[in-house]
Amino acid sequence: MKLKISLIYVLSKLEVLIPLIFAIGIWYLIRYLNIISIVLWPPFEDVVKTLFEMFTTFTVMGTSLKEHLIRTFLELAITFILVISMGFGIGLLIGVISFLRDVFEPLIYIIWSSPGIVLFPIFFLIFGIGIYSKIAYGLFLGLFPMLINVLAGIRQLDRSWIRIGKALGANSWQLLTKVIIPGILPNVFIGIRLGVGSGLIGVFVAQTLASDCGIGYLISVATFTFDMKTAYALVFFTLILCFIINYVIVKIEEKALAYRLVGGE
Amino acid sequence: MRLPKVVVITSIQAFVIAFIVLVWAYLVDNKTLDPFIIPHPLAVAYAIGRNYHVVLTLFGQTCFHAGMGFLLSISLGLTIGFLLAWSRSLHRILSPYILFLFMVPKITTIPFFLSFFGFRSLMRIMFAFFHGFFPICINTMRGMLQVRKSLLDTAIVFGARPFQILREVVFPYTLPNILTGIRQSVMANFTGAIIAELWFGGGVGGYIKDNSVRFMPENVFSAVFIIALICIIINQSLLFIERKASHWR
Repeated sequence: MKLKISLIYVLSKLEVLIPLIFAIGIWYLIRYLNIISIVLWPPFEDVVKTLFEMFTTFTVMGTSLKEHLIRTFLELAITFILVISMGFGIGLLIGVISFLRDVFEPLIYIIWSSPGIVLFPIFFLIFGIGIYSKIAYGLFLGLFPMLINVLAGIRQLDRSWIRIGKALGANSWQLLTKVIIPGILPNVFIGIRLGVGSGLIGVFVAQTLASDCGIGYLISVATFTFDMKTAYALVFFTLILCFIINYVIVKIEEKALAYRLVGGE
Repeated sequence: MRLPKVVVITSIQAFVIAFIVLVWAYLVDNKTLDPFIIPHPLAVAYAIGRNYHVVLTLFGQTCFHAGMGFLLSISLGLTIGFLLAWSRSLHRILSPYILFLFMVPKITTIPFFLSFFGFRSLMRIMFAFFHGFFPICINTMRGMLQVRKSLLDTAIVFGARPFQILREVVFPYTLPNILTGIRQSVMANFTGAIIAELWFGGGVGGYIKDNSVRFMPENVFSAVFIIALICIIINQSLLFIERKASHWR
């Protein structure tokens, strides 16, 4: 009985795979009908084989894959740490002090709502093609969603909590650590999810457009040398990587906010 | 006499921006920043005066790419967003993919566009479409799923036909979300068009790319500032419309 239920459960989860199978079918249909030249559209199994070989031998296009992977992960890690810490710190500072809030909040909204990609050439000119331009651009794209969510959290905070805290004799440090920070935590986690997602986009945009190392750089080189098998394999690898990162963040968010569902009201 | 708060805040903001520009000018004069790479603010101002008509002409081409992409993304995004909210099984099967593709760095998928559409203008249009499709689709879907059950029940009790429910209840209720989706889509369309142009030339992205590899940074900065200003104006005006349309909520 139990087995049956779990079988149905597994089958109901498998329906998510339908679009994937459909997409692979379209891939083979295009190959079969020869709509696109074989140089640009290799058979799917070749792409999978290239991806597999890439990670068994750790070489790609004649160079070592290891340094590119290390560089990418290093850039992503530094960007995420900076986005989270700076977004939280600056957001708290601006949100708590009402004067700073009045001055900077409209500016933050305006910068956040403009498309960040047009500013990439400036980052490229200032920070060069090395690791710094990736971190700076990822930080630039990721910081604003984080800031906006921290600020929104402070604005939506129930004023009566602060009044009660004051009435019970909390000083401003206690008010900050015991009332404001726990109160804005859900918004902070939304901000982390959006900020890390944007930071990821920023790092990959910077790597692809102007770089000397990293996965995005490999994709751009493979595309321009028409090594499409490698390019597609790297695209799939990037998509899987992004899926894992997003999944981990969502799981952490669920774990961290579980107390609200259990304890709560 | 006390000045109104808005004036004080605005003047402080202007002061902050002027301070940043002055520090920038000082650092360039001081040769801390290499003027060969980062131009003086005055050089950028002259470059804006010199090139604005070139940049605006090229921006027309970018607008063509982004605009065509926008038309595609709004028609397909509204349709698919509606279908995803309407059919439960479709929602279950397709929405994980759409939410996932919304989050990934879409720039890495550019080899697919190159294979499908070549170096033609169509590739830039389709890339802009691919960027703009997801915001409008997801916002439409979320808005339609948020329609209150009691409103639908009331409409059914009063004998509204499905099409009438759609037109009189669901559409007005979803409109603020759709407008938010449109605003995000427009910005994403510009992002996609400019990324494709930064890679393969054409439009204002090609201008920026050419000038950055020719080491004419003042032209790059002037083009970037003009485009950023235009995009901010477009965004703010769309935001204004959005606020007008959703104030009843």
